Amino acid sequence: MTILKVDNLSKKFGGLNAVKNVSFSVGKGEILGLIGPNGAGKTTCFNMIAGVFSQSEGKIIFEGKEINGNPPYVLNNRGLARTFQIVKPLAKLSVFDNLMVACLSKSKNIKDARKKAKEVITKTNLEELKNTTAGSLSIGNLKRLEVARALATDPTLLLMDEPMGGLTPSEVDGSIQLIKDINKEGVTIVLVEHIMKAVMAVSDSIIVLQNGSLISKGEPNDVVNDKNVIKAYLGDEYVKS
Amino acid sequence: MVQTLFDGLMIGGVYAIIALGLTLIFGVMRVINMAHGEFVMIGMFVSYFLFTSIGLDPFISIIISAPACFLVGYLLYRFFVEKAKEGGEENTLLLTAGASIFLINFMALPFLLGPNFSRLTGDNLFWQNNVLNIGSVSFNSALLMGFFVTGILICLLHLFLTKTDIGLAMRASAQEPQAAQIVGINVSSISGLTFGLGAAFAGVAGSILATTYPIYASIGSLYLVKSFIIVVLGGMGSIPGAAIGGLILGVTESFGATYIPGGTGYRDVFGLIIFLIVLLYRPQGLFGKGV
Repeated sequence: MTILKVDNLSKKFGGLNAVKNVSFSVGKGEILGLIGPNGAGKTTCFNMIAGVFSQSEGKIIFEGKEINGNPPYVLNNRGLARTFQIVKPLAKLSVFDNLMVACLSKSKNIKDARKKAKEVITKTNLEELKNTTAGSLSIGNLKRLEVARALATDPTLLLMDEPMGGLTPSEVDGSIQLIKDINKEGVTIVLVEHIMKAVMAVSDSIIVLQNGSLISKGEPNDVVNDKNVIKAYLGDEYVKS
Repeated sequence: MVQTLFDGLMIGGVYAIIALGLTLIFGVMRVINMAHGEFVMIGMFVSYFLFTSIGLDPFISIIISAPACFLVGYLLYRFFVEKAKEGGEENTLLLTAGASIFLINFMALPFLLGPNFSRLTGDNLFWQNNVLNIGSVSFNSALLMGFFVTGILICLLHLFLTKTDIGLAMRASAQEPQAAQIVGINVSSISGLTFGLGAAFAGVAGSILATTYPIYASIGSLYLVKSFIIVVLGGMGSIPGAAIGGLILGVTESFGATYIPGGTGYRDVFGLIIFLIVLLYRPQGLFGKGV
């Protein structure tokens, strides 16, 4: 069953075509890897799906309904959450309050929100930091908080924008495991990531963007062996390694 | 000297309420509300109207002036400011300046405040010239009452921002509007509520001031300038900064008017001197910024 369908999606910023006629779909419970060089249009795609930008052309269908023009808070209430490439913590609030903000929009009362926030904080291994001000966290913990805050809204579809950027190798392994755990609980994930080890480890399928256009899609092993993808993004070294 | 200090603290408390509203709006929305003083004037007018028509005490009329200002503020935001925000900060500055001019001229219509000064007077006005003596210090009862109302409002605002879901949503919207939206907060509604709340604070101050000061359509400009001084002094967007900045301004004015020869006529100048000193030597204010 398809949870997200993107049909001929395009975005123009003045004379620049940032995204051109991109189409793909994601099945419920899948993890889709979205890769491509910098400036390929990955984050722009995310911004259109999450309601930050309106598309110039095309359709976005989430759980069978068109969501064109819906603002981010409406989409979030319908089960679509995202994380940001450049983390956006509520820097002056504690880790726990960051999660409370997210939980309150879905919970009936503060007691329920508190319970949910505690659950998420345990799931994402942030217990020891719950009273720490978000602004003083390391980048690794900020990335974890970003995921935790999205999870606190009980999403059915989670868009993750480079959740491993700037992490140490051991933190990357932890992040891979976290993504797998989230997915096991039934959350569909679209993952933008440059660390191919992670993309290959978690993705059920991969799509590749270059200069705003979709140049390849399919199963991970097929995509990374696609000559167009090697030329445009991965390079010969990736194949040799 | 003690009398001068307390005189300053009493009026400073009322200044603080006005500045709290302005700093709340700026802290959450980064909108400089040039019409903020007009909400003080509307609060004064509501109390004046209710007192002259049905004899309602100005302090009791707060329960009407605050919601009235909230409503006008909320509508101003949702129908005008929100749209102007899309065009940048300059647009909201110009729009609220326009709203200020409109409200002044509208309220100066003959069937509202008219072009002349009005003042609450009458035997049934409890607060008129009512002085409370504690030791060697005399307190204007209305301003003393206003000082307590300020204290209560600051405590309520603090509890509201830290203990309620809407308060938390306001703080989230102030810090990272995009992140707030993405976790399901309707930042537009929260901004409208904040604008209304800021206006309601000004309305409360207007009702308190109506007991003691003259009422006229353009009086808001005077309080807007004072609020700017306080907000810059306390730190743009800082709530404790606005509270303490209000008291500092009140005390400075009071000492200047009492101890500088001819100072009474230049009362408002002392605040402007502080304003310049702060801008030159501590432009971030006493408490930095942020709600």
